[in-house]
Amino acid sequence: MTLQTKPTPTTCAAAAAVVCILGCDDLPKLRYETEHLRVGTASGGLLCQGNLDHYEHMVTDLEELLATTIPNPIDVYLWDNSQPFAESEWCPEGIDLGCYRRGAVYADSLSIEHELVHAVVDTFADPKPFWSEGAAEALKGDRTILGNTAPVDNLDLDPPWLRYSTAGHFSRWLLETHGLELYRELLRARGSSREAFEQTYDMTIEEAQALYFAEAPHAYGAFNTCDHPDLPQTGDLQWSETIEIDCAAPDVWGTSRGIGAFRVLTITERGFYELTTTEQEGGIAPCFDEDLETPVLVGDPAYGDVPPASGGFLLVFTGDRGKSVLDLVPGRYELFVGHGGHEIQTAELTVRAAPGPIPQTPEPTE
Amino acid sequence: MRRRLATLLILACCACAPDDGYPPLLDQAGDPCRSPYPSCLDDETVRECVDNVWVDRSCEESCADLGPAMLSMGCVVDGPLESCACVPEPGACAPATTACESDTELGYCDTGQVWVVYDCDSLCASSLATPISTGCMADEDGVAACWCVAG
Repeated sequence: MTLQTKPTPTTCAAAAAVVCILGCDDLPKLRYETEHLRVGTASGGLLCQGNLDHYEHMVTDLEELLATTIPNPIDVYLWDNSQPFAESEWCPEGIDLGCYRRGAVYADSLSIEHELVHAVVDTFADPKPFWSEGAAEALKGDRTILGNTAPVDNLDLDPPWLRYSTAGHFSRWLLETHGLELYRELLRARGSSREAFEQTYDMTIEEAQALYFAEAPHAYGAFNTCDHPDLPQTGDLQWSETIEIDCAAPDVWGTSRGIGAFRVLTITERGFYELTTTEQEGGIAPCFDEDLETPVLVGDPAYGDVPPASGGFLLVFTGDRGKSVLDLVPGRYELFVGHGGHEIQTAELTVRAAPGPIPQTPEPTE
Repeated sequence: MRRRLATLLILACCACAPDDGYPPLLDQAGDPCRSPYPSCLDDETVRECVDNVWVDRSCEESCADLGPAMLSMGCVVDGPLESCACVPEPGACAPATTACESDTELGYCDTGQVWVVYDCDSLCASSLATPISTGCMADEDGVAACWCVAG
């Protein structure tokens, strides 16, 4: 891939007056610091302690997983979703979602985890794009989903032609089936994508692909979603907490538009539950803990009102946009409560078994 | 917040048209698959993901998978969704349909297309939170169910 000619950060900062007249955005000032990261946000975007802790934990976990050390803090330039990231032009042409270049991450909130994996892998390996993007997708924490292209057909492709979903799911399958040690060897291996694979694993890439298509699930569960505190159980089928939504508090997340907190709800009995909050907005989404052999469709009665459907599923349960009584099946759920603006607020969040009346029909039989 | 935006992004990317240079899609008969979305090949034939492989078959075969007494009405395109339209044979029930048999009994069509009658007291008793039945009624959409409340 040909990289678009672009001033380095240092050049741009030094010649900001000239360059920005020509249309270049200034790099955000690095205003947040953790042990491994220095983070700047565009347009004065806000990060709260929850965001920073999450990114720092992710990098620390990757260091351990990949048996490497980050020698110097990684500079992260983070664009807010409200400002189209592509307009910043800090990544090569055609790379609109984020990039890792010359020791720095340029990303938005959707791509930062992917780019942080690149930054950590860069400390010990320089894999070809299929394995590099595969690692970034497989290790960024979200679940991976079987793509609709063949790994072998992607081996020698560069972005944007390379299908990240295929590279990511195939890499995750290798991790799950052949372990971490070989996977680290793969990332370090030299040569083409094919050569790197075949000198690491005792099979051809075509043999591996045949096994992959025969046994890989539709989706592998996520590594680190729902990495939030539990909503405390306060009674039989009842959970409740008073949460201080303060950007400086652990587990509170923020953007330029608002702040909020996440909690994890663990349901052990299927039933109808009533969700209420005093906050402006509340939402619930499934934790993607489980692998899925086949796709789940919204509306499948086996999964209730918050199914682990492809693409994620978030249900707003406050205001007039959503319902507050939901059919929940056993599993973990991510609850979010938050508000627009950045002022500190105290929120009540309660989940309890709905008192009814609720409709009951027989469980579907096979 | 992040997940909702991610969902929007995925939906947006679904609209991206592939250009030359992209790898071929695995969407032909015999290709591996996990997709729940069939496609109509003609009025009577569908391509479906069966046992992780794309298979071309008639809608009669496809409908037979839903129950022993299902008839095919052909392959139907409804916006972005394509699938065989399957209806119960005359006199048979459609799997998962319900109807109130009395004020306290619910009829339910199981996957074998056998009509089974349930007592609402028993159905509600299986719910820890709402074990008390108030009887069988249809909701505003006409779907019948036993209605249960907390004890």
